[in-house]
Amino acid sequence: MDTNLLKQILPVEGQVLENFGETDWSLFGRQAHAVVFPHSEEEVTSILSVANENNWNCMPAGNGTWLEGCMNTDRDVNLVLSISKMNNILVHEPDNLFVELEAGVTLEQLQATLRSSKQWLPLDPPGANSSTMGAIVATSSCGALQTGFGKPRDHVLGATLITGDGKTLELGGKTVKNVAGFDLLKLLSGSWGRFGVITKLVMRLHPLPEADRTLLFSSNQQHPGPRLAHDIMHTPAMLQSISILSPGLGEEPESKDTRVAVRILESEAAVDQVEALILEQVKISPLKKMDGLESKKFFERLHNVDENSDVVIRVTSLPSEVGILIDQLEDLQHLVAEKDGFGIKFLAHSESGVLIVLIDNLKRDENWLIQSTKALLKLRTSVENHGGGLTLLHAPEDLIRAVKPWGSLSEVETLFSGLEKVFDPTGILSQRELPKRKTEGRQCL
Amino acid sequence: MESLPKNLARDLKDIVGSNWVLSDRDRLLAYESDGLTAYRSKPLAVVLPETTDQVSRVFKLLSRNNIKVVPRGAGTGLSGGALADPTAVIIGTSKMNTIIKLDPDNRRAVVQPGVINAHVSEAAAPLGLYYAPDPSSQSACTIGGNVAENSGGPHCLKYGVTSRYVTGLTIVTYEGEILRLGGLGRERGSYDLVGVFVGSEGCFGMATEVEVKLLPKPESVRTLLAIFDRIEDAGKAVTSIMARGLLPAALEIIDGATIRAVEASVFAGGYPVDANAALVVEFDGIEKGLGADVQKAISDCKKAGATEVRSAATSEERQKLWQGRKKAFGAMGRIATDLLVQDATVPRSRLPEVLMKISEIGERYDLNIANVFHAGDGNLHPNILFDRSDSQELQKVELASTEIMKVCVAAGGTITGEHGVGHDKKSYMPLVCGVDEMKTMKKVKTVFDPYHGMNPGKVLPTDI
Repeated sequence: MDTNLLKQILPVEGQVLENFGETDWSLFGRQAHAVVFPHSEEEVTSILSVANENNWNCMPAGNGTWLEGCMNTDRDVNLVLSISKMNNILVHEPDNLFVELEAGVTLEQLQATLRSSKQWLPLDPPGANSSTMGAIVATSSCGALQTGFGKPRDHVLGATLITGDGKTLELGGKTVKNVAGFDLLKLLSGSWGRFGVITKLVMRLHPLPEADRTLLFSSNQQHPGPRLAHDIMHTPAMLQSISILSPGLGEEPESKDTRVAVRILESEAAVDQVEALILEQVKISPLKKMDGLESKKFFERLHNVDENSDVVIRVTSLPSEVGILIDQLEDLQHLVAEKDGFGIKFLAHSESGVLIVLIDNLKRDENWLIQSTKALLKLRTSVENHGGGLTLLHAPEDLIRAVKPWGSLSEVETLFSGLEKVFDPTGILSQRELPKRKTEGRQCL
Repeated sequence: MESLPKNLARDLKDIVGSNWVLSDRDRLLAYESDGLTAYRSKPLAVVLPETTDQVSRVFKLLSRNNIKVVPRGAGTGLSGGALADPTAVIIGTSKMNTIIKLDPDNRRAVVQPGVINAHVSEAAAPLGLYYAPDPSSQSACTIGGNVAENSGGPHCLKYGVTSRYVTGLTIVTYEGEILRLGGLGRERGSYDLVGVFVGSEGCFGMATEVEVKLLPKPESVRTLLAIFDRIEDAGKAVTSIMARGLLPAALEIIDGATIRAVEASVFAGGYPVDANAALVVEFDGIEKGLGADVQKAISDCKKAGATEVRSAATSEERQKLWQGRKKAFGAMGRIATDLLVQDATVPRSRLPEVLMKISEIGERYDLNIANVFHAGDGNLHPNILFDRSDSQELQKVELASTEIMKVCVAAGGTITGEHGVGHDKKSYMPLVCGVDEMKTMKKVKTVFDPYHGMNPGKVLPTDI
């Protein structure tokens, strides 16, 4: 690969990185030929054009915190394209509740800017402090707040996308309502960079709530976590998050019981009343009540629960089936090396039907791969039979290769394949390709 | 006019029943336009299936015969999206009107596309739940139509538009293939096919089952009506309320011309007829929080120059305040034979200047333009009153509409907030989309509809 072609496009020192440490920008121990840091949309367009001409496999990235996430391990990556240097907040109009920013802005940087206007972007994805907004949108990454505020797709008003074949598409706008033409913007969220590089975003903002309160409940035999969360969910009020935390998560020192954390973001006048409604609904007292900064910090700790995990899985289901799924995690316990005494950890956003499963100490004996593969595929089959899905977000390379990040796409495979060809006709962005196709796509006019 | 071939009519009747294939000219009259009556065209036929399987079989038959199809809900759309040319067949959803499932445990409902929007909330009410998107036509419009148009409504300021509430779809493609997209907790792969289908205006396929998210009914609702001498002052009140961090469920402005039309009609809401603007402010949520919010909003309205601020004390009063807003379009029938309900959005802070420019455009073309709109999210509805039989006036309406769109786009807005592009606005698409964007949209349509048999001639300009 001739990196001089890249240096002609990116003249500033440090924009083309060829020699880096073994762990930097690592893709399962291997590294791309180069990591590039464009400063402008024009540079992104030029890089993708050169990549197309030379058939270089290219991986869009932010700060590289989830570089191996959902990766197709069968293909080598020639080039990592990081938008982390495109990190300016361009326009913030508090009166119109929107902000326009370059996609390399981190969520932490954005929230700090918004705070002075008493506004915020209600997203709390894993790794929130260092994640870039482009990566958060591309991976549709979200945490507990998705219950009350929705996923990244619900906050994006507009975006600039440079497609795999180097076209610049301006999508959406700056207003909340916008139905001018087909909503291509929705395709960006959860695309994992497969449709192009997001360079700019317009995000919808919300007023910063006056009060932030978390009620932490302890589960027991009479009130098992999923049952408790289910009861809380039926409180006659809008709750911003309801999370079930396995032993070993959330508290310091780590708890030995399953906890249920409910976050209330309201006006000062309303927060007590919402709490009263919850307590009336569940008829037990919380173990702990946290207000303001303490409440915020509690959830911030949850952002990073997966940073030392060997395996991270996202399971989706109907909210009413979260408890069944948690029970099924027992079948994965034998995959854990008994080091910290907690076994499988999980974090469930129960009203959204999302269960994040963490294996911190994956057993690595001689049969680990066979056993892990068998257990995860069995779980995936069970989840899919109940109408849900299992995504292997992060795992050792051999396990990803065996299990694949995503399960069967069933009847929508053709649509997925067709959309990929629209945005990336030569397939240079296919490092996170979805499962192999059964068909070659439809014949188009 | 072309007529439906006899053998095709027979085969269609075999699928849906002999009463549900309409091809007589008289019976097609009701389908010659949607809510935008400026464009009229009778379809080749209308077919009214009852199930997904029937839709699939009908589509297979029509696509094999190379006949294009136009899905249609209640026909309340305002962009000509359900307009069919004489060679196309309309597939109506009026018989697909069953609420298939109400699932309070998971706060969702699964409905057929012909279910009327308001009926979902009515059915969910005993469970303490409701469906949030509330287009002004919610007592008549269908969920299928809402999905096609990604409909909004007054309460979308706080709760968001249709796409936020549609979690899964069963669709039928032009070739008759039945596909299931999304579904609550049913993440397969990661591309948001539901998201891109919602708002596709019947051009990708037809939704035959819709899974929607329901919300808990708010404990309390408080509604205010503020009266202003100047519409700009009402706009300032909106800016102040939002700038202080309040998030009302709805913020709606009704101008003087609309007030007088409503008050002269059976929909009278008790607004003072000498006012030049009325602002409806609604808060919902937990009772204890509302009182403080309401007081802050009253203060903002008074500071902006409100001459009077009323608070609805009872549910009946609240309904009456909303009646004036929601029935405004109907009331205008008293003052003109025809009405063009325009739809555009601008950033909220630009509302006062854009309203002034719209007023100037009306004066310049000697047209009556009344404004009633979702001020909180900058979604304008300039209503142009005219007489369709006057060809010169019709031409002025088209010119004025184009100018209004250009003004909104120049202010950082767009050509449609919630009514869709349909047939009416496809020529405006280049104002907000580049050629590459429109070509990409066409390619994405082609992925869903390779033979371009779904709702032809809509959304994108023909030369794309």
